Amino acid sequence: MDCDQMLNLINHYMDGGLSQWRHRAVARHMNDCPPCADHHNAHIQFRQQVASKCFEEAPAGLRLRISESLGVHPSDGSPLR
Amino acid sequence: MADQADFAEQAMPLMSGLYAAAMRLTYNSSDAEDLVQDTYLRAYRGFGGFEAGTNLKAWLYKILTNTFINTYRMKQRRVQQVELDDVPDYSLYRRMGGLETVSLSRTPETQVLDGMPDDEVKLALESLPDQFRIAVILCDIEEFSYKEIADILDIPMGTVMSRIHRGRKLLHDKLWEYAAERGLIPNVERPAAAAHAGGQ
Repeated sequence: MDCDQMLNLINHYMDGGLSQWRHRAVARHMNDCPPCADHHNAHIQFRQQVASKCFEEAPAGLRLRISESLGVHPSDGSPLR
Repeated sequence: MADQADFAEQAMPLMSGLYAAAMRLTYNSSDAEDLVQDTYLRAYRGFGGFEAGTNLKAWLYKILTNTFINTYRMKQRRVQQVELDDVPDYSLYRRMGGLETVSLSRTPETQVLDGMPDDEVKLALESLPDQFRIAVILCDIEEFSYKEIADILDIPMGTVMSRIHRGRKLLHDKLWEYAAERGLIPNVERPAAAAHAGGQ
């Protein structure tokens, strides 16, 4: 596998969408090719950064309204009673 | 068949994730709150038909995305129908002059994103057309597998993959554009045009 093939598969690799042998081939390539390994790490970091920057806490008022309509405690969803 | 009494205990801890997704979909907190509340009420009413032991989180996101597509989106704007080709997403690296120039460990890309305010990243994600945005949210933020996303959206796996990959590329490009405008990009040789256009 060369770097271009690796780059074409990196999304699938990262998402766990490759067949076993292809997955192993990509892993082997990264083992021998530090730039590709870095590239893969950057993808993963990028994904994590986007996820953490897009975090939102559900507003307390929403939590309260939903738990009231379900008849449960807002903190843990256990039944009121 | 699942017991309705179990619903709240299993579903309430998932609310912040659902709310974050709803915010990125509807663009504002009041629609997002309505969408999440709708989702919980629909799920609660339908919980009897939910197969116990299967994936409650995926089921809630299915209700959320369906409700969004069928109700909220109609309200906002016309349905966007774009199906673009799958494009490998090494755009940033190519633009930076190819793999060779990417420094070890901390790449410019990660540094650039680090320095970007959360709100800008949210806006960039929100700028994606619906179908790509939904795919990226489900995969990269909620960490569903291709298979789960195919089930949530009722589309083939191949379509899931192309939407995720295309969506990531659009997001990369948007963030890069923002960073370039704000001068957040460190000293990197700019881009592909020079390196690949076949000379100066």
